[in-house]
Formats: sequence, C-alpha cells, structure tokens
Amino acid sequence: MVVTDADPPIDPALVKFRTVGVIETGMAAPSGIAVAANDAILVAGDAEVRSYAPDGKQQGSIAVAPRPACLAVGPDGAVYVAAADRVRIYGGDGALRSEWPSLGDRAELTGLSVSRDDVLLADAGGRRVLRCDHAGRELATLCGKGGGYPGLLLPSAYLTVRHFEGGFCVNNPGLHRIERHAADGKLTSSFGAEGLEVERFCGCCNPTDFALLPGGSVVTVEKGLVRIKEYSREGRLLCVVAAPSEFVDGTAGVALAVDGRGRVLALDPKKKVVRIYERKA
Amino acid sequence: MAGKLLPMVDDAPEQPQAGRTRRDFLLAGVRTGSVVAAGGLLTILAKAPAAAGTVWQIDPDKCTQCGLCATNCVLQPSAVKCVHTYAMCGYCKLCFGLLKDKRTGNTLSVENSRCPTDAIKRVFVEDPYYEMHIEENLCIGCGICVKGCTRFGNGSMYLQIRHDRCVNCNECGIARACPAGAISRVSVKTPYKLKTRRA
Repeated sequence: MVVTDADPPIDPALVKFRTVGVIETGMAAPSGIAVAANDAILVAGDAEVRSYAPDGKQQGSIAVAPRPACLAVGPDGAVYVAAADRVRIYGGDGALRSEWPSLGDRAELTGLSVSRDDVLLADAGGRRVLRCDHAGRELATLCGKGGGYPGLLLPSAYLTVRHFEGGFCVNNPGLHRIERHAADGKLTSSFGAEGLEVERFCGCCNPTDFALLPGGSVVTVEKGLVRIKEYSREGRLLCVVAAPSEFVDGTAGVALAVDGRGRVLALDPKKKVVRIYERKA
Repeated sequence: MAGKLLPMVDDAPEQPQAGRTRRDFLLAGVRTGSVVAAGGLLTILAKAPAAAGTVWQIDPDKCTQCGLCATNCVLQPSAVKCVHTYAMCGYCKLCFGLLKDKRTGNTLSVENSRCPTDAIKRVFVEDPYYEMHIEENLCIGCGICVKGCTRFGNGSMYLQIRHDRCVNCNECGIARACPAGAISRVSVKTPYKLKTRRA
C-alpha cells in the first residue's frame, strides 16, 4: 500500500502492545465502540448496539435507530447513541428513554462524551463541539474560529471529543494535532505535527480518532497509513500499538476505546472486527 | 458533369499504412471527428459504438490506480482523466493528490509535486483552504494523484473515461489490461460513474 513515497518502516521495538483478542462483529457496517461498566465492550452498527464481555463473548444487543455513528455510556449506564443530526438515549434494556431534537441539516455527529455534568457532542458537519445537558439542551458552542484559534479543520468527517480533567480533548485533523481545551472552550495546549514519520500524523487530515488511557496518555489512530500509537500527556510518542501491516488497503475510520485495564480496543470497519490490544509485559 | 465511380484520392477513407499503428490510425480519426462532434453525449452517439447504446467507463470504487490507464489506451494521451468532485473535497492546504510528503513548506516546488505533468493547479480560497483544478489537456490519466487522494484524503479525485475523447473501441485496451476489473460498458444515458460520498 504505497503512494509514491516509501512508507517509513516501524521499528518492531516500538510496538509495545500485542493482540489478545479479536471480536468478529458480523455487522455490515460497524461504526462505533465504547466501554461500559465492568469493561463490557459496546459496538454500534447497522441498527443495533451489541455488548461483549471483556473476553469478547457476546452478551446481548439492543435495537437502535439505523446507521449509528458513535456511542457513549452515561454514569447511570444509559447508552447515548448519535446518528447523523441527533442523539438518542437508550436504557440497558433497550428502551428508548429520550430522543433529542435535530441539531440542524448540517450537523453530522461523529463523537460524543458523557459525564455526570454534561454531554459533549462532536459535530463534524458544523465544525464545532457542543456542550449539552442531559436533556439535550444546548449550553454552549465550542471550538469555533476566532480569538486567535483557527477553528476545527475537518477535510473529512472525523471528529472526536472526550472529557478530560475538567475540560475536554478534541482532535483537529486538518492541523494534525490533538488539542486540550478548558471547560469554556479555551485552547490550553496541543501536540502533533504533519508527516509520515512514526511520531507524526500522516496525510492531509489525521488523527481520525483518539482515546485517553488511564493516566492521561493519548492513543491515536490515522487513516491512509493506518497506525495506532500512544503519546504521553505532553505529546511525546511512547510506543506503537498497531502497525500498518495489521490493516488492509482502504481501511479508514478505525474507532478507538480503552477499558479500565488499560487495554486498547480498535474497531476496524473494513474487516468488521474489534481487536483487543494489551500492553506487553 | 460526370459522376464519380471511384473515390478520388482526397475522398478515400484512411487506411492503416505500413509503419502506422492502430493507435495512430485512431488518433487521426479522432482529430477529424472532434472537429465535427461537439463533445458530451452527441460525441458518444456520433461514434456509433459497436455495443449499441453503451460506452466504456471506470468504476471508481473498484479502481486501484495501477497506472495502466495512462499506457494502455489507444489514444495518447489517454482518454482517461482525473476528475474532481468538489463537494467531496476537503480543500486541504496539504493535498496529497497534489503534493508528496517532503515537508518543504507545503509549496508547489517541482520536487514536491506528485503530478508528473503538472496538471493540477492549486487555487487559494481562504486560509487554510485551497481548491484543486485539473487541467485536462495535461492530465495523462496515470492516477498518481488519485492514489494519494484516495489513501490520505477524501477520495474526491478519481479516474473517468472522458467521452469527448474516447473512441469507444469494440475491445477497450484499458479494460483488457485493468487488473481490478473496474472497467465495463455502461449505458450512454449514464456515461459517467460519479462519486457522491466521502471516503
């Protein structure tokens, strides 16, 4: 899988995770992954959310609105599912608890993060992050261009948001970086640079997704040259979780999650599997 | 005035000559025909395809950008061109359809350009967005830009057989050579397979 430039090789010594499990989802279009209590793995796709035990054994499933894009689990165990321009909240029994109003024709929700206090929505279509209460009322629009901040540059619709230490983290793929923002949206720090080298983010628009490990290190994934990597809080490359050789041509939109054990879960929408990575001893 | 029993020399249909290839013969025919036919569907119909009502086209979802479209078409340059769906494009400053990863400041310096014929022009829109224009007369259909855009970008650049150029051979040279089976006959009513979704 080469364009015209030689892909930089991955030093095997940098790969410090190993695959300990693979879940065959059997879905036609798996799209989102999250971790629930007790490290249960939730996978959204087609028109359902499936639950798997940490060892990969399927536990159950609930029906959801078609074409879910992403999902998150609330503190009370409710499952928040975003599809296109709206969020729906389901109980563990599959009952639809609430359906939020549309966020508009331009909205394309690609990420969400739920805390006790609020819900953060990553709207790739609107190039914004929205803070909402648990009833779906919009509290603030964040990450807009202005005040010296260039805004979210999204050549393609890959935007993720995660709560982090009172504020939040977001990827800004067009700028090839991970950003940290205060709760009010002010940019506080960022890391990342463009390039094919392993410590950089390749292509025009990467990383496409990220997750936060316990301790604050950041796991990222890229498209084009598909690599999953771990960075320190300060943005220093710590290791490679998965090398491009683990993915087939045309893989894009790998979704990430981490569990309480520090394992990295990667949903590969091309092979329609979840790979479970564990740090090598 | 006497009628003509045999065609005069000037009226005789062009025949392949010793030392001339089929490609040369067809090129000559196209040069003449292009004056008469005005492109688009009229051109398609004027060429009276062997498989009535159909023309050759590339399925962009199957195309692997192998490069054979540039070399296996009977026309030179090939009737295959890069087309660009602007609604899909990310208007990237760092366009991987245009630029190699040389990190020379995202400039358009020669060593940084991916296109071998300089057929892609980058037009400033607003910081940091640029619009990529394809100069069809320069494009040779090599697919190098398509490979870069498909892999790293949105896949808004892709290859299509342009029917104002294609001579609609009975047996298409690039269809025969295509390793992905991406080229097939389609109805003249839908002569292009245009992308509408993001990669």
